[in-house]
Amino acid sequence: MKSGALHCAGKELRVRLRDRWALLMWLLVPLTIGGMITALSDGGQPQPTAQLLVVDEDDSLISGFLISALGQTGDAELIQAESVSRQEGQERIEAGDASALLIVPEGFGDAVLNEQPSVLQLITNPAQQILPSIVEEFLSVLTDAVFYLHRVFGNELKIITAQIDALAPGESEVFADPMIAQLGVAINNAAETLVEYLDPMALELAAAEDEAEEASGLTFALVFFPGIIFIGMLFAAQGLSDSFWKERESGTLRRTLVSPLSLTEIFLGKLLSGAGLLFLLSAAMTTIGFVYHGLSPASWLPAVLWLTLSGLVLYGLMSLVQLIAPTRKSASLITSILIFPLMMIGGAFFPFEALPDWLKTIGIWVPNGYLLERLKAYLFYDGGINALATSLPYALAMAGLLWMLCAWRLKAFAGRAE
Amino acid sequence: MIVVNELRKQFGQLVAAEDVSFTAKAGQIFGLLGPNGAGKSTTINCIAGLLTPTSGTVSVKGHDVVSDPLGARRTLGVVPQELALYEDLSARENLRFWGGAYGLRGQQLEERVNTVLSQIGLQDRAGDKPENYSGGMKRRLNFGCGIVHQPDVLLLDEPTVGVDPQSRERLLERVRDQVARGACVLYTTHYMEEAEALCDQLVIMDHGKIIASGTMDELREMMGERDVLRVSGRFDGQAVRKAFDGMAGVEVLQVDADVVQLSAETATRRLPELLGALAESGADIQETTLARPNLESLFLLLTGKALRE
Ligand SMILES: Nc1ncnc2c1ncn2[C@@H]1O[C@H](COP(=O)(O)OP(=O)(O)O)[C@@H](O)[C@H]1O
Ligand SMILES: [Mg+2]
Repeated sequence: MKSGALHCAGKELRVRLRDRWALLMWLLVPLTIGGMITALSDGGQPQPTAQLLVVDEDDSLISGFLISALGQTGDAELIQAESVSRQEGQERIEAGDASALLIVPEGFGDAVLNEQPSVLQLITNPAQQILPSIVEEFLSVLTDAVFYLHRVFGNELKIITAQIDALAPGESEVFADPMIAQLGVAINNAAETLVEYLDPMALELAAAEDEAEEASGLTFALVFFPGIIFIGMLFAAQGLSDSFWKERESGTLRRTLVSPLSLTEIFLGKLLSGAGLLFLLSAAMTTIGFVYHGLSPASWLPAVLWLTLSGLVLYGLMSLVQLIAPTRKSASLITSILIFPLMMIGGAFFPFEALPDWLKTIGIWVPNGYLLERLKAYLFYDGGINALATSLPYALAMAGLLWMLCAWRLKAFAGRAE
Repeated sequence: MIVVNELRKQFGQLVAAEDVSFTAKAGQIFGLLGPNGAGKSTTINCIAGLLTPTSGTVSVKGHDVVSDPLGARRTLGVVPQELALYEDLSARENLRFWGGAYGLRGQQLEERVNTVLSQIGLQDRAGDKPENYSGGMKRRLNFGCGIVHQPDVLLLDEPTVGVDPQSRERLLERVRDQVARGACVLYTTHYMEEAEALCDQLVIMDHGKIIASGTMDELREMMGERDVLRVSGRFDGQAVRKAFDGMAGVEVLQVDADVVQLSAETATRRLPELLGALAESGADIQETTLARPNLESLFLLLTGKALRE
């Protein structure tokens, strides 16, 4: 029994490895998509934008500077700031309508100028995972900047603030922006004469910015990376699942049935060889991704094993469809078409982070969506290895159920070879 | 070695085999002869365990194919009518797989694979995939895959269909080799020359039933001491039948618009009489041949139709 299954698995592997083009395709599809997405994001194409609601209760020059700076995240437009009242802001963040709500308390500007402690309040949307963290990191950089600003230009700021305070309340709003522009000019002028001050500041800021990127950790391409591997797995699963019909049409299935090999051994042979190939494939793709994105080698093995298991779930699903389909043509057509909705909804093509909440909710109910979401929780978010460990029983149950159904269908399928 | 007892196989309403009984012995080539659709493949598939008999029993070397399928399968080698090869694997790898399927491993397997490769004349092309082979080469490989494990009982379903004469001769030689080492071979064909040249024992089937059986000599005897006269030309069917109706010792085997076959005792001496009767019926005679009876004429005698249509 064991020896027969291994004998079958060896044959399957030999057949598969002979089909170089299919193997190459399974690797090239995800690599190409990954490469394209990386190129796009490096080229500064649209990225997910964080919607930031700002309540400015201070309404000072300093808070104005902070808020307008939040809107200035370069070409990428990572953050889109919108000024709101405290009540509106709180309502909208509760409704999940924005990534974060920033409240600048009254007296913030004065506190900065007088080097008094002051607290900025940031309320993030728990439903979104990366975008609020981008806001958070950016804000921490900015508050540092405000601090340095005061250190270097404390006097100029005091003068300008005094001028603004002298204006009537209505005028303050009208002049707020020109004032900031004026501040910019002042800074430029000062910068030219205060190179010795500016240099360490710039250095400090740059360091802070780097740190920020590392902390949030998630670049645009990285958000896509696990999903792209799933695209590869979907194609591989579809390709592998064709072998039942291939064997039936070439007559080798009938021939095996008259040999001492049992249907179970044929079945196990396909399952084992599939597992081996899916392992190699996910190992290759994961390695490329890990090296490119500089992910921790410690999470390599869990990720690869999880991907292999995910591949087996998808291989089981595709095989079941093949075994139910009435003809080889329809089997191949249905499974190839099936790849696309699974890919689209299951977060493989459009990452969950970019999907509307309702679609994401559906997406994690799709087998590959669930498995992908868990992998991301493990790799990027705070799930840790528990994110995989706790969902392992579900993943195993899914694979087990699908493959048991396949075994059951295979009997009828081979019988139809009469 | 193979005992088939009152086998019946029905596909829905269609009765593909009915009341089929025979025994094939070791060291013998047992032939199943019959036109397309006669039920040969149905019978052989019931023996191979691919089909479950509707009723009746089949046993192979004492193993009942229904109650002890694995025991039966271990003693069998099967060469299916349709090619059954892995197109992505080389000839050598195909042989290895099928040998391994019967439990051969390692050194023993390699030796058998090499022997079979040279037997089927593919040792020079052993590394090529069957997709690059000619029809005859594929057939030879298909045959080779069934004999790697040197089965006690070998089932061959029309192994020479679509094979060039040279490959066919070579294949028949290999079949004889199997018998020489003591195997029992069940051979189906619709080529009566092949059955005549190869088989020790024969069953002739038509419409799912056995219509004659025995050794070649026994079957010839069924024709009696008769010769077969074959006349080609142009004939009027009804007139021909009428002309010979009631003529003692003469039987009309076949009447077509362009060919008539008669079987008659001592036909040599009665030739003028027979041709005269034909001419009287208004026939236009072009060519005549007189022959010893063969399976073709026996089939004609039993069914009134030609074996190949
Ligand atoms: N799986 C099947 N289902 C229905 N009818 C079949 C099946 N296999 C064979 N038959 C029918 O049974 C009869 C005998 O077929 P077969 O045994 O293949 O004949 P042979 O091998 O002598 O040419 C034919 O009429 C054929 O159409
Ligand atoms: Mg047949």
